[in-house]
Order: sequence, then C-alpha cells, then structure tokens
Amino acid sequence: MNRLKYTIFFLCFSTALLLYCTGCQSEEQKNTVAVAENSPKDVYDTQVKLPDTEGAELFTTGAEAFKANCITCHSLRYIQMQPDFPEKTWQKIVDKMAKSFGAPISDSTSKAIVRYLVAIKGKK
Amino acid sequence: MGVKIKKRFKNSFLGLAAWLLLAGFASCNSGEKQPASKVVPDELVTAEGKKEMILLTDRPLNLETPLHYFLYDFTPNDEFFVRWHLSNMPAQVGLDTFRLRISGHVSKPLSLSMSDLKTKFKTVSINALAACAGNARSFCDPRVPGGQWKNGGMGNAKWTGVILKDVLSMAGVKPGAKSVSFNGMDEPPLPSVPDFVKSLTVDHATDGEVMIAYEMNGEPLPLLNGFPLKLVVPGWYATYWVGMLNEIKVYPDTFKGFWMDKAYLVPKGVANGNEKPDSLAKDMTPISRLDIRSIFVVPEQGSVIAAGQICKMQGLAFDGGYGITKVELSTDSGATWVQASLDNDLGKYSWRRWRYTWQPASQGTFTFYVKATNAKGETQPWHHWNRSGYMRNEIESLQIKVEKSK
Repeated sequence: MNRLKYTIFFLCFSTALLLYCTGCQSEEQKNTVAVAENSPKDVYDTQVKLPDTEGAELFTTGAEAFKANCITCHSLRYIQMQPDFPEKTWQKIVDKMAKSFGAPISDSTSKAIVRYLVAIKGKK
Repeated sequence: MGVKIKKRFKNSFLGLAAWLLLAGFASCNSGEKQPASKVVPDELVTAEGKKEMILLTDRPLNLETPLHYFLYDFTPNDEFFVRWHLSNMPAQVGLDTFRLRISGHVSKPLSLSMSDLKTKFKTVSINALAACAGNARSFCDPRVPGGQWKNGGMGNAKWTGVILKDVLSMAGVKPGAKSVSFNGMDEPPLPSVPDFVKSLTVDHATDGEVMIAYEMNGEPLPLLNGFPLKLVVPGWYATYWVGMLNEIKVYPDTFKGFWMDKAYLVPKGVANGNEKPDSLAKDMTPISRLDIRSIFVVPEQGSVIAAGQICKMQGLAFDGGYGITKVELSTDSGATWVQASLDNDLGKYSWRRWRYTWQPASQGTFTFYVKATNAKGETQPWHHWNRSGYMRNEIESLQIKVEKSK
C-alpha cells in the first residue's frame, strides 16, 4: 500500500514538475485534473474523521424507542431474521405496526425507530 | 409466554462451509439464482414438546421443520412446524375446565368439553397438508418482509376429530347465516392489537370436510400446534387452521376483522396470487386454497456426487385438493421434461411423494427443475412473486455437482 502511495505521490509530483517546466498546455491540463481528483483519498488517507455524535445519539434514541414500543409484542429477533431493507420499506413496516397492528407509536417515535432499523438492517 | 426454549447454534462451521460452497457454485454458474436462505446458517432450538427445529422467531414462537424430516410421509408431531401470531398464549391448557363455545346466529349456543366432543359426535380422520401461507418466503426475489421460511413451514398429518358441520348442526345455525369465525386462546399482548380471528363462509364451514381436530398422527396435538383443538380446513392455507380453538361464532352477515380484511390478502383473480414489484395489484382478496407446488427433498441443494453413481432423488408435490397427477424434472431449463414416479396417493389433501433415479454419466454442475401438474391441469409458473411472499409456487431448482468417479 505504501508503495502505491509513493507511486501516486511521485506521479503527482512529476506531473506538477512537468507542468511547471512545460507551461500549461491543454493536454497536460487534462492529466492534472485527473490526478488531482484521485489524489486526496490516496495521498491524504490520515484525514481525521470527527465522531458522528449526532448519529450515535439518534441510534441510542432509536434503540430505546424500539425497546419501549416494539418488544411488548415481539422480540428483536423479528428484525434480525429479516433481510436488509431500504428505509422506505422499514418506514412502511413501522407504519403498518402503528396503524394496523395497534402499536401505540407516535410519529416522532416512529422516525426514531425507523432510523434504528435502518442502522441494524438497512439496505443502501 | 411460559414455553421453554433451549437455544444452540448448530453447524455454524458447516453453515459457513455450505455458504462458501454455494458461493463457489455461484461463480461457476453466474446466471443461476442462489437460494437466499442458504446465506444464514440455521439456528436450531428445542422448544417444549419438540425436538430440534429451526428458529425463526422466539416471541411469538415460530419454528421451521428441517427439510430431512420430509422423508417421512407424515411429519412427526415433535418436528411439525410452529406458527403463532400473538405472544400472549397459554403455556398450558387444563382439560377439566376447557370448553369450546359456539354462539352467535344459532338457536342453541353450546359449551362443549373435550369429553362432549369425543362422545357426542362422529369421529373422523383425514390426511391433510398444513402449509403456511408464507412458506418459502425467503426465496422471494426481491425479498419481502415477514417470517423468512424456507420449505419447512408445512407438514403433513393424519388429523382426527369431529366434523365442524356436525357441531354447527347441534348448535342449530339460524336461517340467513353467512359466515363463521374461529378464535383461539392466544391473545394480543396489548388491547389495541387485533386478536387473531379467522372466518369461513357458512357454506364452506358446513361442507362436511372442515373439521375440529383433537389428534394429530394418533396423538393429542402438541401444545405448540394448538392443543387441545385445531380447526382443519383441508386444501386451504394453514392461516385458517386456528389452534387452541375455543370460540366459534356464527354471523348473519360477512365477518369483519383485521386478520380477514387487512392481513393475509393476495391479488384477486390472478393465478398463484402473482404480481410485479413495480405494478402492485389494486384488487386484493383473502388468501384461500393452496396453489400447486413441488419441492426437492433429496439430495439437498449443492450436493456433490460421483459420475456413474446412482442418485435416488425424491421430493413432494401438493395442491389444494384436486390431486397431483404428474411430476416432471428437467435438466435443460425446461426444454425437455422427464416424468418422475409417484408414490401411493395418501388422499387428495395430503402431499404426494415423487421419486426419480438418476445416474449422471459425465462430470459437471447440473441444475434440475421440478414441476407438478394436477387433475385440473394446473401447473407451476417459472416466476412467482407478490408483496407478502404468499402462495409461493415458482418452479424450484436444485444444483448438483457431479465429480469424476474415483
């Protein structure tokens, strides 16, 4: 991997050098753009990621909402056995639980539950 | 719920190995669909009165029969699939106090003890397949929410009990009666949750075939299969086979209830309840009679055999009671079919076993397809899907790898 990074770095560097030496001609300009697009994720892979505190909090809220509203009637295994579904499908299922199956879930709680379900069984 | 369950993960490594094996097959046959269920290794549990079964969900309890038990014509009681909708079910039922109540649009409401049922009515027996509406749901493509059954959400049994018509006659159904509802002792965990109540038309309920069973394969029903009484609706999906049955009501009009009007609905007037994900049917109707289907039992998916070796294949075919007349197999995606032999007919509502002896001459990966035909001329579709994964009866495929003989 390191070797790859060095190679890319070397390519960037040599392209820059080439550009510097030859002046900005249209063909090289294209190359520069291409290299520049590729470089960030390869060269700067030590970029710091801030912890997603908002997401984590929402997950906890969702998990609590799930515990409070869903497991009265069925265990978590009902979710675990399902395939991954897109958010739209989970929203439909939670709506069905509230409207048809009589689960006493408010609209805001429903959103938190859906977020939790998407986190554990979501399909991208 | 007071029913005890012991859990254990079995064959996690074998499951993984099977998955890897299938993944390997998939890479050899990129065009072939793999059964989704194989991806998740089975978790086996032992519930009270049951041997090891595949755990779908623990509360409410839903257990699947491992495929190899389908080698028996009658599914053993301690391996018979378990399906409950409401978690609030009694962990025991005392026969001293148990009563079956018949009320509503009748001239003489009844409260029958088990002894009444066994002594005051004619005893009958019938061989019939109980098949969950959502059996094989996990094979749906695209996947749909619900119990992720493979093929073990069904079982064949000899049911013994009384004819519903006889019981209704004793209660004296009043003229103009339209429907009959059936409720069990299981209850919703919250008052807002609809109780599991199913209904049939009066004509169907008094057809002389629908029965109230107290025995299954010569033994009292296991608690988890609805002890002490279960409604048996031959040829109809098991959603109607209400367990722990203790309340029958007759109505002068059509019964209204969540489990008839909102749940267990299929596209109306469409063969096999088929529809497409991008154009869902608008007109829906309560699910009813089983559609025709056939499955492989032996060998299991992904088996490896040697060229020249005799492979004794077998499986099961069933429908809603017209009777299976033919089961065929194909190894060329349906271009040509060969006929399998059929075992003795165990009754029109029972499943029927098919057999085929195959001796592969050459190496390679073979994909078998199985297709059944019934007395009405109905057969199975190449593709089947609906939003709820009900009535699945797509022509099933089985991959067998044939290796060089040693």
